[in-house]
Amino acid sequence: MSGTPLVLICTCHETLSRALPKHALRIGIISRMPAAHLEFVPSLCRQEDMDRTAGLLEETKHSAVLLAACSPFARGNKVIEGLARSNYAIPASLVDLREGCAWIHGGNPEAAAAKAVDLVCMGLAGLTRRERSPNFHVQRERRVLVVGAGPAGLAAAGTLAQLGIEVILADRMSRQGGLLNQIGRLFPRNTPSQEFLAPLLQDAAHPAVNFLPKTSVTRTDGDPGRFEARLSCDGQNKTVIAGALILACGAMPVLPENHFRSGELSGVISQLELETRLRKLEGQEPAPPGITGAVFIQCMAAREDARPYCSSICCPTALKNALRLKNINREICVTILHRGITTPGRTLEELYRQAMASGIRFVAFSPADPPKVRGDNFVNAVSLTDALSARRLDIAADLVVLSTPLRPRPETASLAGDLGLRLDGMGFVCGTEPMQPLAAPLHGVYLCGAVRWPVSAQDAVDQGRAAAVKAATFLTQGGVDQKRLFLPGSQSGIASIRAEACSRCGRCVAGCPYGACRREGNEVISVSGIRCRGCGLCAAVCPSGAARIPEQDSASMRAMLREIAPRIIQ
Amino acid sequence: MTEPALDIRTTNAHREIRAVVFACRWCALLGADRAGKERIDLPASFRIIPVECAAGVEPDLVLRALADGLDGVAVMGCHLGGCRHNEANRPARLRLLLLQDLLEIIGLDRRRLLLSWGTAHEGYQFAGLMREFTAILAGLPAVDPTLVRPC
Repeated sequence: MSGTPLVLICTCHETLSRALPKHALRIGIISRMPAAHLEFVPSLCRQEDMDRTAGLLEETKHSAVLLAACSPFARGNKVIEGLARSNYAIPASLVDLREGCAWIHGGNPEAAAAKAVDLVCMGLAGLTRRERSPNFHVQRERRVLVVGAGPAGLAAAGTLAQLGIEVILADRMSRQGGLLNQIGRLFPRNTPSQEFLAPLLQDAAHPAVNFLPKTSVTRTDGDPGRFEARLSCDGQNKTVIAGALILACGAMPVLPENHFRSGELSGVISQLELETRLRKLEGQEPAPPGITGAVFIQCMAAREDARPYCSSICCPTALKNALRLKNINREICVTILHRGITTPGRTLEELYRQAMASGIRFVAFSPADPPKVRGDNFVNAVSLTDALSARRLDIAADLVVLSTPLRPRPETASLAGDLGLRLDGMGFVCGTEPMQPLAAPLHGVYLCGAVRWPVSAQDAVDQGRAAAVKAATFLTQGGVDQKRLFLPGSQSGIASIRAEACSRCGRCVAGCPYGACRREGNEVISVSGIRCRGCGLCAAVCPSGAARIPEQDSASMRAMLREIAPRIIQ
Repeated sequence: MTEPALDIRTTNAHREIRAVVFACRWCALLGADRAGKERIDLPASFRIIPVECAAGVEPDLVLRALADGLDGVAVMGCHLGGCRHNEANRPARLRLLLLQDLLEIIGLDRRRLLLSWGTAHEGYQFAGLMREFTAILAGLPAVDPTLVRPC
């Protein structure tokens, strides 16, 4: 028996035997694959059968095992996983005879049986020719570079330190806290921002965290497991080695440039400016006189052609600040001019209701007819057409607050460019949407906070912690497990390039979606094992057949094709 | 000298249609699985080869399948912009579109190479595509092996 492939056909408790009669399968398969050893099993997914199969493999020393069972998404993947766990050395593969054959060709049993024979022979042809990817060694430095010390970066650094991983926390400012340092209180619960930051700062004050103030990343090189980042620390150049990177460099508010006559009239200010003023006002007792009418204008320079996105935090911020004005003095008339209020979720919905209950007025306007701020030198009114009633309104105001969106920081593009990360149309960094939004397509690079998309401080913290756990997993065990290549939940293989066949044309280098194929100094093209995800694009573009994924090599693919070609040709 | 042997000669009505489907395991394979779960009755004309990414399907492999006597080849990947492999399906699509043109030039119907980008993700979508593809292939004659000789 040794050296022959074993075919285990699961009859799914005999339910498949009607569509795929056993004798028809046996005759069909053995006549075409005389070397194969065939076994019918009532249900491979049962633990007893799995144990029995594992025992059988141990005894009989088969060269490979093909499971003919159900779809990988039904039980197939579990079965093959279970078998592989008992013996990784035996190449194993799965063909789907239930969802892929018996269940969809029930109306034509003859054709179904012929197809099942084809599928099994095809699986065998591919399996017996399958090669294994070469081994490679991945060095994993147990150190993470966190770029940005805002709420996301602080949470990531603190979490990593607790997990016993060394952290370099770099920020372009001298102080930790990021944008929260410019904001007094946070929605939805009106928490003072320093109170919110305190536990994060405390966690990040761990001895394993090395905070580098006034630092920017000028360049990153290297591979996952060992990135080399060149930093500029307060004018001095420095290179650090890190096993993983967490990008938490956040976003910045768009400041008004003469929007709604902001440069011209005093009293037209940005939301950020209001934060500063509120901090002064809230300290005073009793409430200072001055403001009698405040108008907030939402969606300044957002949701328009040049900046088409909703920044998602400006509505809750405006509600929070409007409520703060009301708290200072209930007599202030506060009106929010909006294009639809965005307050998703339980807590933000509550904030909205609270704002309505406190007498804040909401008026919708149309982007085609934006509100006009009136006054000379000082603001005195805002006039607009109510989009719902079509009435002209004149609202007396001595303060106009422009809700400004967040936009990506300028350095984000170069940082992402060095690592080969993709930016969305707006300039925010994309993760592996939709399955792993916090992981970049490259192993060892994680994203959190507003570098991905504008988020609230609490969401930034949550994402920071999640990214930290992902980075820690990668450094301790993640990446590629060679034993598991081609198994479910793992990648298909790792590309290799045969130097003697390679013409060095560089098509794989240009095409590789992960920057894994690259040109070495002497023009030879090599593959970085840790970057490769086994998609096979390099093999498909290679004109000389030098690039290949051993596990899905074209020789085995061709053998599979020959098995399903009409019989007359052979 | 007559016209070159084109793909519009006699149609063999009782011929068994054979097609191969290269299905991306992140997208079209799910559609195929779903069609199976819903037990949608389909013509038994196609055999699926699961692939990691549609980008890994070499144009040469498509030609080889046709040279082996298969009536058609389908390559099914994720929707454009939703590739599991960082947009690898965009260059793959361009390459295979070019191959469709080349098939036409050598005298084979371009519909023998079915391309699907994210349109086979649901069971009924996969089933619809397979029925349609089988019907198209049934209207075409067997591939003349002298037309396709991959290197």
